[in-house]
Amino acid sequence: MNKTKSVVMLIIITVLILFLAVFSFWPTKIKMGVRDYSSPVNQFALNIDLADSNNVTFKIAEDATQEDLEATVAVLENRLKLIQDKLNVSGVEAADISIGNGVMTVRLPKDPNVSVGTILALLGTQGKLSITYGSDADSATAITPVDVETKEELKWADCIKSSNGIYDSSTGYYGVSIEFDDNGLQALKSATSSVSSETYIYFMLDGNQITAVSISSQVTEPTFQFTGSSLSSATTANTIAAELLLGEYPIEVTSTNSYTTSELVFGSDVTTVIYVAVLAVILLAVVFSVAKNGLIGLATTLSFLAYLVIYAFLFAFLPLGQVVSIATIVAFIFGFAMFIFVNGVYAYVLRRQYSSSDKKSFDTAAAEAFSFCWKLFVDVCVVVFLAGVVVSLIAIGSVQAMGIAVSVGAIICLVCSVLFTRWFVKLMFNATDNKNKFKIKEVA
Amino acid sequence: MKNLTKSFKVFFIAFLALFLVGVIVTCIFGINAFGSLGKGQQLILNVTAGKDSYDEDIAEVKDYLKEHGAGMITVNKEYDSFDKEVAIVFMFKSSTPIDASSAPFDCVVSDLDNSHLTKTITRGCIALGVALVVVFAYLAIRFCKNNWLANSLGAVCTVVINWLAIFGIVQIAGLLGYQFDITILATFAYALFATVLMYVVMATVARINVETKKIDNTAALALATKKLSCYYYVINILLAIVCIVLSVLSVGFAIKLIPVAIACVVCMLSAVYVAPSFWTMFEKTETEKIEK
Repeated sequence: MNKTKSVVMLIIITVLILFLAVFSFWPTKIKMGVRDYSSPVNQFALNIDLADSNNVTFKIAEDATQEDLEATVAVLENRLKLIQDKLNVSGVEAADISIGNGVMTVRLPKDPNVSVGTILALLGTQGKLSITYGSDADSATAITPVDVETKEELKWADCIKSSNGIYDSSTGYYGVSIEFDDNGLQALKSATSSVSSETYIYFMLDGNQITAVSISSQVTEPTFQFTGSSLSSATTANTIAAELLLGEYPIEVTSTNSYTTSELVFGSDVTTVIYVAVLAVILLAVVFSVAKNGLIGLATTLSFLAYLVIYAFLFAFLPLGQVVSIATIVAFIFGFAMFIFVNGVYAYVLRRQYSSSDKKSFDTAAAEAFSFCWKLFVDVCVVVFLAGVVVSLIAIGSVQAMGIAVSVGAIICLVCSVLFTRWFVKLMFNATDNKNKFKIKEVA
Repeated sequence: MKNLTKSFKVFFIAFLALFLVGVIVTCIFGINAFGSLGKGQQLILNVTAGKDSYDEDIAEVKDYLKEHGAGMITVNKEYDSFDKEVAIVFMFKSSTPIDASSAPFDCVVSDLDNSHLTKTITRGCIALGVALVVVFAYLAIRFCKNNWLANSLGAVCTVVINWLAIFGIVQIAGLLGYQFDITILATFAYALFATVLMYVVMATVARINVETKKIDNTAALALATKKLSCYYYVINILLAIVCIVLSVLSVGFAIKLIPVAIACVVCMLSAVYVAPSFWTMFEKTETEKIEK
């Protein structure tokens, strides 16, 4: 590749990385149907350790058995997962739960887009789901699902395979798509077999109507979809989708209180300070790389930026239940150090090989340096990845999240070091006239 | 031990001494942990909503708690649904139980339930232990034909000595009033990852030196350490400074990030002065075995 092409390629790569960096690190929110795009940095800002948190307390039976308490926590954890998945509230799954002495407390991140009331409603309801049909809600007949084989009565929550918010782009309305299992479908089929005029199916939670759907013929398909003007937003549709899957608490649970706590760390500027600190680390690391290894340092810097963008996207969107906490930030910082470290070694070895003989071409030196360093990349990344995976599998809470962050970072570090750094270094070499800048003075 | 450098002996003994002092401090004063982690207490101060500042109320309660033996205190504010402050929550660990009825302000004091944190710590410690075993196994298998003992056991020993030193420093810091919460586990995890990273890089660069410069292992390792020490110093000091700056900005972060800064410094020193000697020591042992 000649100089002009290399320069153009470097410019395109830099612009592309900066463009992706804006989408990663600028607090952007873009409406995209039922699940809005929220940039990774938005999700990082919503976490328990750094920002304000919502606290919800419930009253539960004081004489509940350990078995009941465990089952109650299991239902609660399922609901937290639903809130994270359906309402896109980051970090909810790793909420702090404490239970005992007749009180259950849940502490979870405060998301400005989802009110504490919505969360309280989803967590605090007993969760008894019923489905009725008729011309009006008061006179509607209950539909009871039974096991098609044993004829045993079932709960509706056990008869719904999935429930998701949907968006109809032709009408601009939001809606919900529910998939029933055989038992649920059979119950609906039987109940609606004689329907020929407009009839409503009512979805009720603890006796309160969630939504009503108009039908004019028998329900025959397991997938049941409805949209409408009453579902005004993605949050409304997703909330209904979540309500259908909540599951019922085995003991009586009553909502008692909800409040917001401020961590009082940096006040409302907590995330700003964190971003400034992390940015300062990155800038200093970049300056160090360039000062130490010159143009090769600049190429590794470009690779480092690509690493940061990929890391941010993967960590924000991989469905591993990861959360951002102080421990995760420590993991990010470790990841930065790991990348700078191994790429710094590669840069040094490359310069040394290129400087070792005037007759040696840069391609040869690069190949030699890579043959020495690829084992370094693999050893470092694999050993850190394995340790991270073990920690994420065994630990719980913030340390588990740290393990996930470290293992994800190790893989990206390996990919970026092997693919991008080598490529960028080559482009940088082709784009430069003074080839001596790629040599070490002491050796040369 | 005859092949060990003077600097190794100094730092090795210093790290062990820190650990021993930490153990003595633990025996006398108990484990250094914040209220949420140890047997802590929570004081909820009921306040009148709508005041511009609650600084005086907070200062009064803090003074009262400190008079009654409380260490580090964190303050949270509770809001009602109209975003009015209705209560201020203080979390602390005190040598004596605080009696709410004798306090000069309207408050409720309760013990903190930390059973779930105990579970978190137990699982975290097991995870770090297993991770260390996995690191050992990987390095031992990976380098089974090339100084496996130096590459695997050396890394494990360096991690352990770092953990001991960090534990000691954390315990001693407790005497100065610093108490640490659950994030201390992240510090030990960081020490594990950072030490293994630096150890593997050091060993690999030493091997590259052997191949390219045709020198023996000891000389290659010394050269690698010399070349890499710049990276060790710059990266770790940079990270430590960031942690300290964030800690200075806020009391909340001091609890969380000061131990990470400690880990950075410990890992940096051990990478330069302890790890190379461990590698040499186990490499010699292995060579002697083969020779015998």
